[in-house]
Amino acid sequence: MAISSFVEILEDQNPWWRSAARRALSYPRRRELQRQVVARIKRLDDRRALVIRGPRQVGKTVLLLQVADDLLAAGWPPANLAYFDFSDDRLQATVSPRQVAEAHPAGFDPDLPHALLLDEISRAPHWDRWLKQAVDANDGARIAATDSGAALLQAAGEESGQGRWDEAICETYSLRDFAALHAIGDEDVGVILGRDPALTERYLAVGGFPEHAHNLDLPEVRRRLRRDIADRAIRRDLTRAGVEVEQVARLFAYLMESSGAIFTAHSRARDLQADPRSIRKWLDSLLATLLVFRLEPFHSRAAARLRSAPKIFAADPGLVAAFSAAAEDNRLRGLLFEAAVYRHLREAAHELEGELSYFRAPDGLEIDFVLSMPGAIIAIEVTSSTRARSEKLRRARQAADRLGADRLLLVHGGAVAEPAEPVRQVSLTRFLADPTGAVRSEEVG
Amino acid sequence: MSRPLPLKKKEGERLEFKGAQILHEPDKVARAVVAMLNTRGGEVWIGVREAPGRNEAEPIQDAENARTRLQDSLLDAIEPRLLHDEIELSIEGEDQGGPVLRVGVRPDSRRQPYAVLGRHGARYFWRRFDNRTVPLTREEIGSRFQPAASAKTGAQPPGRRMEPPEILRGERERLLSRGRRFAVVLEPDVGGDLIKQRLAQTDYLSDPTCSGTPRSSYNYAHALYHGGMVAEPKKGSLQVGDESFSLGVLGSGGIRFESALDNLHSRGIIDSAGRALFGTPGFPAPDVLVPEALTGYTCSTLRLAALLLSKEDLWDRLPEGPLWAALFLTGLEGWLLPPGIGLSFGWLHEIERHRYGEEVFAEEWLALNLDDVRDHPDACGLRLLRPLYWSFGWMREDDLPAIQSVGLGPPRL
Repeated sequence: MAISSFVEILEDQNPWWRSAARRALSYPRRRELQRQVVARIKRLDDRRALVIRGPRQVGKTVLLLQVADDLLAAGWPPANLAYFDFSDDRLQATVSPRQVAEAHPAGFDPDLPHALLLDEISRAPHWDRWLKQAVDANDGARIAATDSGAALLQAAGEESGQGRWDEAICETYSLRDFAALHAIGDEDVGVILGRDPALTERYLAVGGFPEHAHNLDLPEVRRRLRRDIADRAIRRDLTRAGVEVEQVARLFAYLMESSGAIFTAHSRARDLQADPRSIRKWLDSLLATLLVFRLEPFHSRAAARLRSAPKIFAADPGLVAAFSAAAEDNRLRGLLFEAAVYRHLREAAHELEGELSYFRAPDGLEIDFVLSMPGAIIAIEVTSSTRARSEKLRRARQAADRLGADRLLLVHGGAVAEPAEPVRQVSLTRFLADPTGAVRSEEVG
Repeated sequence: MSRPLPLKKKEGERLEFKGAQILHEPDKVARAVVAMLNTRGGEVWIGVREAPGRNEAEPIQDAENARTRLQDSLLDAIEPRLLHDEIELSIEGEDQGGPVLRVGVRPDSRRQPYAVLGRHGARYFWRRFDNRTVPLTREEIGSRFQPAASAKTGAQPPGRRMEPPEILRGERERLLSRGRRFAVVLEPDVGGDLIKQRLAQTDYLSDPTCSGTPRSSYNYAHALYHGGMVAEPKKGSLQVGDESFSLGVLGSGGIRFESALDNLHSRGIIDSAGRALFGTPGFPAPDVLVPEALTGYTCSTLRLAALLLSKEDLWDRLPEGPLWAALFLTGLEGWLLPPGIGLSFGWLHEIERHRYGEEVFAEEWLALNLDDVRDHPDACGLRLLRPLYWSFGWMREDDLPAIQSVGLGPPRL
């Protein structure tokens, strides 16, 4: 008999209610964010909820199912753990988070904490009001919810999550996550990359979308990414936000083809025959999808920063490859390198409590990324070239001196380090495998 | 001196026993010989009957006469007409319970497929699979007539010998003595004079896109991640990489790509396939060759050969054909090879049928026409791979992965 009622669907999504040994579909590889979510839910002295935002298809649902698995494995009472996917196509009516929270299976113990893992929460009406009340009630509910960035944006104005929930961003896979999918047993990332050196190149080509990690048919991956991103993430999600989706899709394609370029609304307005204010609004919508990221210029004075134009990057190198008309050429390779480095620098900056920017002087001296941390400014220059030319190094050093950087790091495309230049050099693979270590390291070579 | 009779051996891909009475049905002997000619050669013993524990010798009356008659029959019954070194008939074991007949079979891969001629012009194509003789499928027959057509015809300059150069014999021994390795060996019949200094100034060995090979594929340039380029005066070669991955280009134009066998292994893939089939995590992962890696390393190495052959300015003297080629895999016992790409469905349930039973896969030298290598490197690569697939029990042409699906970009077939 077909499952149709809310309770039947809920029971179907929580197989551990029937038998503690039952698990949701298990994926063995965990990403760092998943471990943080598990730790967060286990921490009973922190009543705040956690809302995980991320683009479509980056693995948010899998992450929640893995959290459920790990909680059960750690002895969490099965009846006090509820997972619910609000986008289940069997639902015939909208379901509120309250219904999920109050649907207690046999064995539920009100004296123990109640973990609620809520997937695609923005599909539920008034989810943010409920979340505020649920956190304020402080009745032992431990809540983690996910949704796409764009969907959550629409509800964000209704109720403030301030003090009630924290946000975490679930990005596409890092190179470490991507490599771990190819591990034999518990192999270290360095060993995996030594065994399969093309993984970095494959990561650049298909990006960190887990679905495509094993697919070497690159044209097919690119077609799928274009279709999934343009048709679903942009057209479907942003239609609900009330923006002109076809124009936004065109702007998105432009931003992917020129990922890392300085963005001026006036120039794009001319290209798209639109008003600059509309262009800014569309850009904000795209930023909310987390498919693009903004990088502000480096200035010692905040006021000067406000007057300067940001750079806009693709969230993931796979998006650049998918939306670029050109085949594998040097220009595209440069864009892929920068998108990948920025993807990983965001993580490092978060970990090191630093701030990212780029540097450009009026005379053209440039640094691709500047990481400003308490007590240190690190200039990071990226080249896809396998051999760093002396002239490029000289200019990078000049630029680093100009902005007052404490250190300069060159990320290059070579497989092995070029000998003896007085600049810290690291190959792209080594950098992506450990970006925090690379920016921290004092070592030369 | 008479060879020892194989009284303690079992039948296998390269060994078959027939009772003495088979001499009354020479077409059946022809079938057994053709099967080996279409596989990797071997021996057919007539007058040795397989028995539990120890095989039995059945003496053949008037062995010399029987040998002559059988030789005539085989010459009449097999197409293409056998050359003198493709079969060798000898009388053996007169002092070991014989005499019996031994047919040594040594195929020339350029002349495959061989056929048994039947009535009314019919031709029957057979090959060995383990200890059985099975018919070639339509696809297999077709594939053996393609792709390097001129190499197949054996079109050689008059007087050219049909054996690989001496250097490759030592090469074979060297490779087979090493544990858990994968190697692609290419060597021109008449070596050229490569200007190695000029090659070292190019990106040909470090940038696979120079040969039309995407960087993201499994390809020869992986060696560079394991060590920079060095000239090896003793070997007369340019070497890249280390023990884990190495690429060598010899002054003759020969190419050696080697890798640790474990570099062609992927747990991630088998995990996913196991889940797809059984829906259970933790599927015990055996050693699995990644078809994408196997195909990528083989075909990209042929593409590198094509690239070098097409750059006349790299040579003082171009090599002359054929280009001798072979794959070697050692430490292979117990490994699996999925058909198609690594995540293909529908083979794990018959997993034991496709587990490699021997320690070594050593391919017979394949003679490739230089023009074919230059113009159709992927087709040549697939020719090298086919016998490996056969030896894993994958007999159909589409068991080999498509070039596009392994990330090598547009095929060069």
